[in-house]
Amino acid sequence: MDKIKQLVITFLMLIVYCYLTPKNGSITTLYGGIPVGGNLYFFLLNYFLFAIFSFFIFESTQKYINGYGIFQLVRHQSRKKIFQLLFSELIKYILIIESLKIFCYLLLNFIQRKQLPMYHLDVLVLFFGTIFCMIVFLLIQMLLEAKYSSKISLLYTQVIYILILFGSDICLKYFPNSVINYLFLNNYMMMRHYTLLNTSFLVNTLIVTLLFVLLTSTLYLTGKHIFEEKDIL
Amino acid sequence: MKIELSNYSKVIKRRTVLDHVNCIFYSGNIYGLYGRNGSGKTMLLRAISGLIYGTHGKVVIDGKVLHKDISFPKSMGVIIENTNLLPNYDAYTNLKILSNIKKIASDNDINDALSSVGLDPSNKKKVRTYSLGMRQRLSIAQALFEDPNLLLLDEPTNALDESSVEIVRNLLLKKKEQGTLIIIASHNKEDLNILADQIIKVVDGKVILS
Repeated sequence: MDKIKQLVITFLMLIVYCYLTPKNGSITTLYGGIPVGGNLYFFLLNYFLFAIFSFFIFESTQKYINGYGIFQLVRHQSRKKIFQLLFSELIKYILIIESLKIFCYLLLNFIQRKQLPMYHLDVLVLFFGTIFCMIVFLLIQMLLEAKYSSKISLLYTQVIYILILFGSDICLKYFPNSVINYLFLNNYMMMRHYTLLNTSFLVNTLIVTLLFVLLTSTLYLTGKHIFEEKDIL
Repeated sequence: MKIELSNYSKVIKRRTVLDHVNCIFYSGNIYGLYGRNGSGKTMLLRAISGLIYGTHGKVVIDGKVLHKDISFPKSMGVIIENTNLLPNYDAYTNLKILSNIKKIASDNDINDALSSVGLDPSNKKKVRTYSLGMRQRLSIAQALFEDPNLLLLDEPTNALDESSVEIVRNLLLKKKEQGTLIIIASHNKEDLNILADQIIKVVDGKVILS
């Protein structure tokens, strides 16, 4: 499927997502995530958003290691360069979808004559949290695509995401003050979750930022290594 | 240009696809790799192009060891299976996008390459509407337009009609005269008999020089 078609479908899915997202006149609700003890609706909504990202990134790696990518690879003369291109494409796609998401949300607020969204400082932190979270999960999908077929890697990534999504809720319920909560990445997208941990907002932000930087760097270096050692068959 | 494969082997999933290959290729020659499907012809092209890593042995290009001193041959045009051009762009734009990577080919070079294979550079039809033969001709133009020193061509005359085959053969002979090293993998013996200075038979990953 070409990117224009994918973008149109993504836009329609985002409209649906934003329509289903509860609105309280604050853009924070877009990043608020699943309330503690929230029902399945919130889980499905959270997963739906990830599925949109995942769908958009589908087959990105395959494009670079098969077909047209081979013509680019022999001209760039570097596997590392191809991975860097892929990574920058990932960041670009995430920013496009996030911008579209905010646009759809504001548009729906305007059409439905809801209260105008208010800006909160938290939003900026949560916005970057969401971006990092998506980078980590989608990088996993891309790296899996370098090893397996696109469909298999899509499936594996969905399973990983869903397990972490539900795992975070269970963990918070039984081990509310444990540092293990930080390992459930999409927790960071759930403002109401991490504020329950017995640390300040600043400390939480610093810890999770550090965690994301470490994870992203590890995945980036792993990806570079996989690409450098990979046979292009 | 000199390419030397020394004791080169490749094992994929416990299957030996290239088995202790030893051969030397010199510029200004056309070499034909001949063998049945799955014999290892394409894998040999991939080994020379740097797309795969050898399990044993090495590929040396002008004294530089592939994957050690260099990652890929410096100036190379390839047509290899599982490759295709961007379906939603016309022929010219496809080559223009590729030319932006190395920035060594001018617009004229792109136009000349397209014309030389019988494609109209001003044709705005998208590649997805092309016939198999037109796509193959575009792939050949893609391999040639930057005037590389090394051409690795996997079944270059596949899907081409008689007149196009003739055009491509003449093009390759012209490139050979200009000093390009050309390696063609084909199961079409007629092509190789006409074009190749040396035919190399590939049987179960082993190379038999003739």
